[in-house]
Amino acid sequence: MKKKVLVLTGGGDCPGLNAVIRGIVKRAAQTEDWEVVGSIQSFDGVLREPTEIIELSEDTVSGIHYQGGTILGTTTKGGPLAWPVKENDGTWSFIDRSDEMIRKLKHMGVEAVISIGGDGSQRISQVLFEKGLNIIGVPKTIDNDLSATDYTFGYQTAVQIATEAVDRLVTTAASHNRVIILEVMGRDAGWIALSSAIAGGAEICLIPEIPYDINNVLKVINKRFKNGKGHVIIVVAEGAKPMNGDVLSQKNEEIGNANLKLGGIANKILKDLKTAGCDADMRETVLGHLQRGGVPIAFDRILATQFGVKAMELALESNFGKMVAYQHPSIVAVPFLEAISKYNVVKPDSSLVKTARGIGMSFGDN
Amino acid sequence: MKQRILIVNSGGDCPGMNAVIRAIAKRTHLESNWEVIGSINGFDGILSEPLELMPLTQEKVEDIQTLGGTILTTNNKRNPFNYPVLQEDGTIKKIDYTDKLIYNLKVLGFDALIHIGGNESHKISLKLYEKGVNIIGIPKTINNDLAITDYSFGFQTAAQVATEAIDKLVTTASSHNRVLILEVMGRDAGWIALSAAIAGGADVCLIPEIQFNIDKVVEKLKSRYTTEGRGFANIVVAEGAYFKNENGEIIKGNIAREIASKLRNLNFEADIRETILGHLQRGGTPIAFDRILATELGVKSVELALDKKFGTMAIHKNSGVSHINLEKVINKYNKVDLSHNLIHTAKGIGISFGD
Repeated sequence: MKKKVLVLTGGGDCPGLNAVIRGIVKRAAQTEDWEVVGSIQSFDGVLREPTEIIELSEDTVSGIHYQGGTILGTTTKGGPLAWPVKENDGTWSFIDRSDEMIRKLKHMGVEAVISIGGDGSQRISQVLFEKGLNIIGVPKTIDNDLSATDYTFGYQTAVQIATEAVDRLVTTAASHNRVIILEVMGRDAGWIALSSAIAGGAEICLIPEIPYDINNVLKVINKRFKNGKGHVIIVVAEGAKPMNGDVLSQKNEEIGNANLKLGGIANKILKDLKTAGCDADMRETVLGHLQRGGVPIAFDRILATQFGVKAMELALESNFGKMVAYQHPSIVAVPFLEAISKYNVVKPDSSLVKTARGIGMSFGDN
Repeated sequence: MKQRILIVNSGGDCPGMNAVIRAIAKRTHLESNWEVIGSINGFDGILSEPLELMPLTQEKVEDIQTLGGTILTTNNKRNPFNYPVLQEDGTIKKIDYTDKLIYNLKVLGFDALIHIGGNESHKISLKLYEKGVNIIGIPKTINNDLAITDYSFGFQTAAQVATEAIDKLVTTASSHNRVLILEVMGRDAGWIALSAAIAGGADVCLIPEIQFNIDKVVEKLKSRYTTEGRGFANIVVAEGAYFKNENGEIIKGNIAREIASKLRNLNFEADIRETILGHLQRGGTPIAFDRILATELGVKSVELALDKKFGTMAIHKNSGVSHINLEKVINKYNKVDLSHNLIHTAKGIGISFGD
């Protein structure tokens, strides 16, 4: 019987997930004695009764690197450490099913697990690894907020999409002499906002790492408008916040989803600018899940394929408890503990911020 | 009078050049006592009679980062050390025009020259610096063949264009059970071919760094077809790739056609077609990655000028911008190292290099 590696994708989806899955399967196909199976919707496929496990052959993965999303499905809820159970009184409680799951995997003959996910998934992986599961991680986030790796796949595609949005907003803003505010993703990191603001040519960029003052934003707008003519593009990260203010967030109503919902900052800025006396026409665009959908760009497909091949090779070497990472120009393996210990946020003195200031972009901080 | 920066761009064009020009202009405009001017068509603008110079005002560079090409136009045949000058008898004579260049720069009050160019251009940059020109270099190549910078702008756009070409070729190849050969740029380096082959999902990738054997290519193609002749295969070949024919002669140049005709001569059963991507790889809107990189290098080059750090080049190293002395730049080609992880990855997903 062939040895089995089980692959799963967890957390928010991200362009390039399918390219990782294909990389793993194609690498396994080069060996004589390994086969790959996939768990549907993260660990849920293993935990559910009946289980939802699919065979991943070379035919299954043929051509999928081109597709966004994940053929395995994903979820941001639940998981083996906090499985939601509905009580008789209609309330929900959460139970730890990790021991049961590890037994189940053993019984299924799974020799190694490759978990593709964000920092939340890597944390779960560390717990499972400590409990004896042979697990390997592949980092996944469009937010580029993991410090152990130079880049994560999906991020450059998100930047590209946000940049193309700025390109389009520039022409309509210029035609109507408007201020247009574009809200992009990134959670507590400003990478997508900063990168798309530079690439697209926004005048103002507001990110969580540099709190803004609405009056400074207004100052820049007024400078760009003469006799009512002019236009301004503001790119704002969903996690941006004013000086002495908080990030706009809501508690998530979905059962088992602990992440706060960010968003609404573009609308807040629009209103605050009006209150502060801005008389230009203003519009907002919230890019939302367009940043997660569609065909990954070449950069992300290449990175994802490198991650997939490397993850499979760690399985072949029985090198567990680690996450693959890109440290230019190499693909390396770093222990989960190291990988999840530090967020990668934009440093205000980084060369990207200096570049932005160097072309006259304002962060609303002075 | 304001202090002046002259921008010269040389060599083949490359998506992102306008983003560099815009960044240089925008950074310069933050300095009240500096201005920036562009030389049209490489060194022609500063050497021709009459001069062809373009003041790069804020309005001139507005939103040009989305445009491919260069608003200054470029030329790869304008070496000031060997400059073509029209003689009275109508012939063209190549002469050393550098003294005239230095004179013109001085008379027109240029305090710094920012030179955007590839490998060959920066050999000129170094020689001009040695003759006393206050020069700063910016690397430019779609081929990713400069060793001193981790990334050069234009390359990711070219890789993206080549990848999208494979995406399209895969669907038509599979519909017709064909072998499709895509020839991409890269000169003596296989970076574009290798990247596009991995991202697009080609079966065979042929690059200059690995001499290929046509029989091995046939072997791989056969494995992609059933005995009934069903199947398809995509080959990506770098323009600089080569192989030896049965007489031991090296076959180089026109490589996609050479491979196609060779495969036909070997009676490989499937239909074979070739596509030569050509200058599509240099045209069009640069992707975000290249625009950002180009903007970083543009801003850095002005700051090097303000700091009087001449004889240097702005580069991207270790996730940030920095600079390096020009003499360390020359003849440092970046070819695909066979131990590079991209080779390892390609082999890991079953791509054949025909070796």
